[in-house]
Amino acid sequence: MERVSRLRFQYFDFWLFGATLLLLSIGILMIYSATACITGESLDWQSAVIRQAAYAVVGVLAMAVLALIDYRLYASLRWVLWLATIGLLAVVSVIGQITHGAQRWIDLRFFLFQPSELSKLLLVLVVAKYMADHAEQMTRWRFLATSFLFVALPIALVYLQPDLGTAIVIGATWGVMALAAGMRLRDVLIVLAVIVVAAPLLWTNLRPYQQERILTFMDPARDPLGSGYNVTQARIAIGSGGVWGQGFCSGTQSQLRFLRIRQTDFIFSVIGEELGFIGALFVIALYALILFRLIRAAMLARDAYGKLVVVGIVAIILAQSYVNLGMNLGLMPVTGIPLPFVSSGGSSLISLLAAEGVAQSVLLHHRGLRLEGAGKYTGG
Amino acid sequence: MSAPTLSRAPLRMRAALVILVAVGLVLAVRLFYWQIIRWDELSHKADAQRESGAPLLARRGDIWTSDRVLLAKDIFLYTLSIAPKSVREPDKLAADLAPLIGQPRDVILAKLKSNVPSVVLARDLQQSVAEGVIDYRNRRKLLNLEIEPKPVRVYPNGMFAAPNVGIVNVERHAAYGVEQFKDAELRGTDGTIHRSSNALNDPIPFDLPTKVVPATDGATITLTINSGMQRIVEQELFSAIRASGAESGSIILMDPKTGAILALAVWPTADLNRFFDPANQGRYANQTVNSQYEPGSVFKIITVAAGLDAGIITPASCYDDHGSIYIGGRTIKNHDDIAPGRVCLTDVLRQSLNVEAVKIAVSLGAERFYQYIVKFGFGALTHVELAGEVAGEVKQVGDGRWREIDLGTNAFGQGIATTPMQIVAAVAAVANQGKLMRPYIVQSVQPANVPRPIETTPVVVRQVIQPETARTLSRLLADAIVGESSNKAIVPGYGIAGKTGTAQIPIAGVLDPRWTIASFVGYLPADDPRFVILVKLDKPQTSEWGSQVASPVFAAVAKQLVMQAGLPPDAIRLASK
Repeated sequence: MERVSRLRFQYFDFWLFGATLLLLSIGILMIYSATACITGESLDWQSAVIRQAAYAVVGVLAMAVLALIDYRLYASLRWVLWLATIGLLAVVSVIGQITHGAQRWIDLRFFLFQPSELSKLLLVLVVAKYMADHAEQMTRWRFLATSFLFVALPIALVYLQPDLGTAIVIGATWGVMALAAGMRLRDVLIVLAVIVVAAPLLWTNLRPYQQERILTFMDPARDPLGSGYNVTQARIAIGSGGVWGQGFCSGTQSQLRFLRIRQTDFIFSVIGEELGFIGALFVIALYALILFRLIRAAMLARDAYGKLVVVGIVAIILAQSYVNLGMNLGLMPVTGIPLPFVSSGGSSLISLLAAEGVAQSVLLHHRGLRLEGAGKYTGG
Repeated sequence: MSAPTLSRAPLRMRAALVILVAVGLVLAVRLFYWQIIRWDELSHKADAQRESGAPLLARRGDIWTSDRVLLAKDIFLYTLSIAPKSVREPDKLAADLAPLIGQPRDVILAKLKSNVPSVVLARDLQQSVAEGVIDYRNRRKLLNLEIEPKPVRVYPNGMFAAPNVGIVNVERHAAYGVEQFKDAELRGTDGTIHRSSNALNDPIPFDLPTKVVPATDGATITLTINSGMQRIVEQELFSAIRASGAESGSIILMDPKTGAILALAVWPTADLNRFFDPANQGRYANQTVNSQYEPGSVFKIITVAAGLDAGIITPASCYDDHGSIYIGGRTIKNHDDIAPGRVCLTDVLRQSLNVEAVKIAVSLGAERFYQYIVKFGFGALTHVELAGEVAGEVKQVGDGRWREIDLGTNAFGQGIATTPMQIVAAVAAVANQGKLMRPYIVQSVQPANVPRPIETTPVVVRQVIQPETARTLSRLLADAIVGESSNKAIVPGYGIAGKTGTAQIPIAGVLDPRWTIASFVGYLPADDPRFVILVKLDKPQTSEWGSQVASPVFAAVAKQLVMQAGLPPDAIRLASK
């Protein structure tokens, strides 16, 4: 407990926190634009805007609490966390709410909880411990494979929901952490080669709608009113934004509902249309800033566990934002990955803010670690 | 124990920063591509899928007589429709609309609760009713209540002057008369309104520019028709049809000095508002331009004009008429096989001697004879502004169908196809110092966006015969009538020039012995003609002769005409000069 008391508030990353608050605000405003500004939808607890604002408040509170808690606590709780993850994902596959053909949510009456969102953070906390413990052994297949076992079962459960996007994000996060932990580049290439070889096998195992999305990605004109509809509309929305955008609440694509699922997956298209190139570029810059500050935090971390935890969080945010932005910009196939901090949805928002809390915790506690530890101090 | 460290981490962290910048650049470049490079194209796509063009219907121009009697007009009827799912308070709306549109509340309510994208609440609402609904809509701000105007053609005077006017059907397709001939000017140009709608096709809830290309209403057309004269001509035609038992007929009244058609009546005819009635099928055609006939003896005016103009004959020319002449392998006889012996030119016209007409044509020679026929406008369109005009048919030497006998029969108006309009125009040329005028029925066109109407100026087609010839012929024609006190065409107090025609009707190449077309064409006053009148009755039953059935109609029309026009009798007119 002495170590916890040694946290230093001057190490709290205000850049990270500020950029995150800006994204939250932009998100809430754009959700308002996408859902309420011309429909006259009443702003009550049922409305997406108010709920998002509430989630943001809860998330920021969670972030503050988690920033104060010493992150190393999670290392010791790894088995509990891992079992909790498996448990949640198992529960969802049994009693989960089925929406749009997928079973991803647990109905908590006031909130549809999506365990797969939280599982990403929990798995980072679990896997980081194993990798940190075997940091010098990640060059060996046995340890690499063992570390993967922690995520293999969750990936399988998420894939079966089905939520291919999240499964890929978890896999990618594991890969980035393994790289940071010392996995050889040669081994990375081997893994990638195996994935490429296995791709045809994976393809045949994909559900028809997933295959459709990938084909649509290759050629949106394939079926412009069917599976290509959203991609086409997103393109028109972003394209018609121009340099300065059509103005808040004035994007015709968004407001006239040509753009569907606009407050979640395609919220970036609303931003592109209404805030233009300048606004969209600003949002991308905010992600770059957040990720830059997180990588900085990872570099500052004095212990392997802290470093790997932050790297994992970087991987989650990077993968999700890239997949979502890429989807909006026609660089990636359509997946249900929300845009971090911006898309409407409580599970994702709160989990990500919690993850940032953990990253802040690493920052707040790294000096304490240096003072009592024997590690070299190379900068900060 | 020291915390575990990661030996390769620092390098890979820096690599991660590079990757981060690279990813950011890729996204930024992609954003630039869509938003800057392809902005123009994509924003047009956005406009295109948002905007839908609805026509703004132009109002078709009115048609008036020259003395301001309205013959044709567009009115607007309104269709009231709504998207049921956009109605918030169906019960209240139904209750409010019921008295406005005169429908039971329950009927409206049922429509408002139907599960269709859009429902028509009422059709063909009159302007006054529609205005009430529009007022209600604006008061309640019910923008989802759509009131769509639809122009409908109405003919306030029904059957009056019908063959001149023509019809416009429900599909707004014009047929017959001036309606069809001047369709391009009358119809105007529809505009468009580009409205934005959302992906669900709801009315747009916020202000987007609405592009409007306004409609240009059609031109208003004033005819040369005088309603008073038209009424006279119609009444006389219809009573003549009744009296003679003729199957059909027509009267054309023209101002010879200008070519303006002052009145034109055709039987059969029908109410222009009832074109959809199967009983009225075929009753809108205008036989004065739409169909051709063999004019018969009225054509002797042309033959004599040609002979006089060419100097072949003089007013003093006299002949021995033996009742027949041999030409082209056939013998041509006078009517009723008369052989009057010594006759002069006035007698030829008065007795309508075929044999002498043939002699004149033969003396002229085919070449000159047909030159005159063509100069008088036969075989060609008159270009009067009535739809569906036919040119008639004049066989010409060397066209493969002309035979010598045609020179003979053409001389007295058989074997040649003409329209009544051509006959009137040709005779009007004789009345008008030999100048052929283009017949016209459109006096002026007033386009919607032009300050003054465009007046039709009379067009001289050509000088057909010398003025002197024309005056001589007028005198001869007048003398021929005056010299016969029983002539039914005589209008007391007025000198008239004219000629009867009793034409046989060709059926499949031979002349039908049973029926004739009885006609009279003439003008008055003979010395300074104001009116040319052609009366034509097809297949009269009481008498086959033009002199018996058509001449009295001419006289009846002319008598009323001079009163209507305030034309003093010749004695008074000439004395006051």
